[in-house]
Amino acid sequence: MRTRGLYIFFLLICFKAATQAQTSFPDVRITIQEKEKTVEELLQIIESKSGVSFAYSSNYLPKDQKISINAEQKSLSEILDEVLLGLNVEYQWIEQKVVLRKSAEKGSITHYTISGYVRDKVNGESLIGATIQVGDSYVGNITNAYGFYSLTLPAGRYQLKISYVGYESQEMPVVLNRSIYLDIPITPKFSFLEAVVVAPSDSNVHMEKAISNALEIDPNRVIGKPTALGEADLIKSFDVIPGVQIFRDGSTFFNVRGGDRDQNQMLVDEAPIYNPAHFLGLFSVFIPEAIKDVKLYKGNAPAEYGGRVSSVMDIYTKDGNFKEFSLNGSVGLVSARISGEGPIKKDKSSFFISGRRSHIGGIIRGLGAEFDQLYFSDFTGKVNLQLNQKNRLFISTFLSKDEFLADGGLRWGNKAGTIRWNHVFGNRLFLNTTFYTSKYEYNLIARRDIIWKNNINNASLKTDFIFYKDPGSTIKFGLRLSGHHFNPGNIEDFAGNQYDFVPKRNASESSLYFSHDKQLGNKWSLNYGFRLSSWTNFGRTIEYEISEDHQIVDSTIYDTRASYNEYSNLEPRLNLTWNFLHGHFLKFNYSRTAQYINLISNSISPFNNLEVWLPASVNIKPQLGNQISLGWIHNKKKWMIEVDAYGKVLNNQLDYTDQAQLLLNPHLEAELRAGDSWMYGIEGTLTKNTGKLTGWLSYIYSRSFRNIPGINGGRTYPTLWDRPHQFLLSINYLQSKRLNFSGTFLMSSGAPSSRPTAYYQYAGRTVPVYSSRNNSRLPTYHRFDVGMNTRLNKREQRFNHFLGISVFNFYSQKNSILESFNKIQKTEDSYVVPASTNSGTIVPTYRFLYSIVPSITYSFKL
Amino acid sequence: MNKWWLIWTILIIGCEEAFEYEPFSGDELLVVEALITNERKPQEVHLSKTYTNLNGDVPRVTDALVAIYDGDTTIILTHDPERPGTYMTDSMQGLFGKVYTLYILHEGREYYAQATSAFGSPLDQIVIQEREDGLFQFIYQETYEPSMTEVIVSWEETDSLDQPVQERRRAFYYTLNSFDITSVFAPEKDLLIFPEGAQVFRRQYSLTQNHQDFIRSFLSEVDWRGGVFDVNAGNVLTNLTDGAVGYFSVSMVRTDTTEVTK
Repeated sequence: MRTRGLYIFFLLICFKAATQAQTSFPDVRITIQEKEKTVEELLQIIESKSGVSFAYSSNYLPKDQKISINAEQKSLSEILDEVLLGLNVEYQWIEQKVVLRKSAEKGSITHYTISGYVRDKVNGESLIGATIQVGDSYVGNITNAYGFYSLTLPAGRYQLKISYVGYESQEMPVVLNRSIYLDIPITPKFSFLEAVVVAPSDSNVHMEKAISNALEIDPNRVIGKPTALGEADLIKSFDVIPGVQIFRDGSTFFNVRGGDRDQNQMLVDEAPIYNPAHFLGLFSVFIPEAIKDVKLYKGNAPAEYGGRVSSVMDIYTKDGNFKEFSLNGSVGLVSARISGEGPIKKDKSSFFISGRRSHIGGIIRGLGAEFDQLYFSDFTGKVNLQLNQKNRLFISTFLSKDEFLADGGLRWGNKAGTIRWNHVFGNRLFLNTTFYTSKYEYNLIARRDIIWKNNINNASLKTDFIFYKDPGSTIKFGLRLSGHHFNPGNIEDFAGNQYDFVPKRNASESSLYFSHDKQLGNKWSLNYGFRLSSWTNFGRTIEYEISEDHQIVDSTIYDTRASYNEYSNLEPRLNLTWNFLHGHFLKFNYSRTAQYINLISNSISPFNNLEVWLPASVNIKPQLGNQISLGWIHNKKKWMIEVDAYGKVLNNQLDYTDQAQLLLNPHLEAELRAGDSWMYGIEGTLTKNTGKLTGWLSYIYSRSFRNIPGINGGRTYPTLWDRPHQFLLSINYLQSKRLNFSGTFLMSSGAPSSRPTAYYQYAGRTVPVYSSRNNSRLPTYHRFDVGMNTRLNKREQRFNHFLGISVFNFYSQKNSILESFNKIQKTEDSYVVPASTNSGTIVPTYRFLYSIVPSITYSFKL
Repeated sequence: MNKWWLIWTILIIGCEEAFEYEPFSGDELLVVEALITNERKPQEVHLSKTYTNLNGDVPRVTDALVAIYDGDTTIILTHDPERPGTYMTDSMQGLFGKVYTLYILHEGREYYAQATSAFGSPLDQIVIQEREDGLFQFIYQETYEPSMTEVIVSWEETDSLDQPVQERRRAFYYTLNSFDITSVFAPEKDLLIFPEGAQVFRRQYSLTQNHQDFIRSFLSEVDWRGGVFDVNAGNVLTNLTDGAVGYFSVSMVRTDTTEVTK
């Protein structure tokens, strides 16, 4: 008892002494400017400059960590705080010495957040998908769709590495002793001739990026790629992406991993675009110069995306130059494009506008064709207001239009408008709220002064939150509410009177999602989440009751706003990545997706025509897609190998009876048949990302089948886009900073085709008989394109101008797009349908679109 | 829509070529072409079989038993050995409102089809247009009611030996109540051109909805296929049972004859 009393007394004395020691910490001010020193070296320098002695054990001081310090007349405690930042070491003044020791409590480490935007140094544009990596570790973050990042780290000093495709990689030291807001400007590579690659990811592959499943498509690459008639085209550039197939020459339809063309979601500034075709599909509607970022998900899209079962193409347009005004434009054989951008208030707000109009109509008129209108045009505009550090507002619009009029004809267009508000709560919770409206309309101006009109209108309000919990953990959640109106094709006369043969449809859609990106140590990374979607049909409309033998047996009229049918689906998503060896990643993905709208078309043509959109309703169940994939990525400094195997099952797939009547048919739904389709494949790609010669080589084996009761006698048949073998080569050679060459070679199995298996005579005409659907194939497809881009001025300066020369289909391969078995030869090179019966020998013919197509494009940047 | 072909040809640069392919082998199907009209005459039923070579010979069916039942009586058709595959009634007239049943027994299999007729609309004034080259062409005017118009043009020409040769062309034109993109942008069709003095014989057939559906599917394959907006290939509809192809129909017919003059 006595001993314990003495012990307590001793402790009290010590505590008092220590307290006195702390309060009398020497008030010494010194100046110290040192670079790349170890902590121990710095302590020795401080000791000599301040005359204060230090006591410590070298064991808990890092031996390799080099620190730079630049302090002028700062107190000893301030300097020690900076030197010992993040080392988990504390100091005390005891016995006329500064005693350093390890912090007693682990939980006492303070965390701070560094957040802000990664921007283009030249124009201030925020950069989507830039990687911010902490040193050489796997700790890091990727900027979100608005260029925002947030990293919460223990107090300390860090070397941040920032990298982005097409930009110089940059390193930046950061002393994190409080939460800071930091915009990081990075420098773009010097010109659009710089070799940039459409590849699964850049060479500094980050684990988080590896699991993102997004293909990043550089708009500059799109501009430089050789195309038909020299018209830079985002969608046509997909023909060299493994797993993506352009349906046929001249088409903007594309199929992703064996999915149908309506299963690809196209978003421009978050608003959906339903028909990306100009000139029936020869060109697409996206102006390459207006695009800031494109991501393509070949399935396995994160939970924030939903609504299509095969792919998502997410396009963000440019915000506009924050620093100065600039102008660029180009003139090619088909169209002229011009873009302007600049600050509204320097470094605070900006605008971007871009327009394109075709002039090919004038050329065709000059060659003797008569028509009223033959053109396409596009407009993209955006205003970007940085209200303050926490709030940003974007207002954007997207318009495209085609007119193809000669004694009637076709007119179609897309309209979309988006308002988005970004807000950052604290420095770790990012909010985006979007309101958009979009409209797609397709008209056929027919004889007798009538117009066939088909349109789909949408309005949507969505809110997305991103919570940056810590560098290895990001949580996303959000909610979307949408309204849809469908007019599946009805007649209107020129007086505006409407004749609704086909019932119009209305629906509301709501979805909420949650996802969590979680890094599990250095080797594993996990993304899991779900999406809960629901769909409600409401009046005013007519629904038909269809019997099992597809006859209309009854109908019900639903009043305006009366809801009458609902679907809901839970859509889980899972991505798992394992970094099993240095530079080797294994990826596993599973996703389930629901799709509530369908493109109703039995067209086999590459060209877009009077297709209508119909929603899920009483007679049409929502499409459901389940996809798994397993991938291996091996990333070396110069090379990357990626192998992806996938399997996909789609339920409630629609196909059409023989000779289905889809236009102006009130009983259209009775022409549809539903069943399942399934796809599988393996995609292998070897990519070279660095050096003068870049590019990739891919081989893809993929299959796509359907089984739909009532079609093809109930037997399984290949889909129209089932092309088992595909070989792709894309190369880019940067000869100098002024001169760049590119080439692509594509070869794939021919597309399936239904060839007659027999014929008969009826009314003096030869009639085909088909014993099975897609029973044959078009010949093997192959094509080689070459291009050259050069900057005309010797040195890069304020005004730069460029010349692009390309040869599409260099060796003039006649790739078949359609076959027919009903024509006679009229002249040496023309074939017609016979006018009268028994008119002679019927000749099988095929159509091809392109022979060799040279083109030249001039462009400038000011 | 001929303008479209010029625009399209210029625009797409490429064109159309012939190709060869290996014919498939398949089962032979019975083909029935039967049309009863309100004209008092021997009505005909044509029977043949499918064949696999595109321009192959048509196998005619000469040994079938063919009968038509009009609800009251059964008429047995007789085969015309002069025209293999053609079966004929005695002179008879199809009546509006009656349901006719076609019965065929061939190689131990029985085939049936039923048809009735629509009333149709009267013939409009024929339009024949003189061309710049001095020849003439028939201009089809759509009718008020759905219809099929058969135009038979005959004239005398001289051949290379300066001998007179009787020329005869037969073509069909249609008014349907359906709407198909493939018909709007159908491939180019040859023209029916004839000289002054030709005789133009016109027959306008009424069409029921089922008959229209058959014709729409028939045109989809023989006239509209090969355009820029092709749709899925599919078998032409039929009202024959048991796997036979073709169609059995009954129509009310209006006719006229015109001599082509300037």
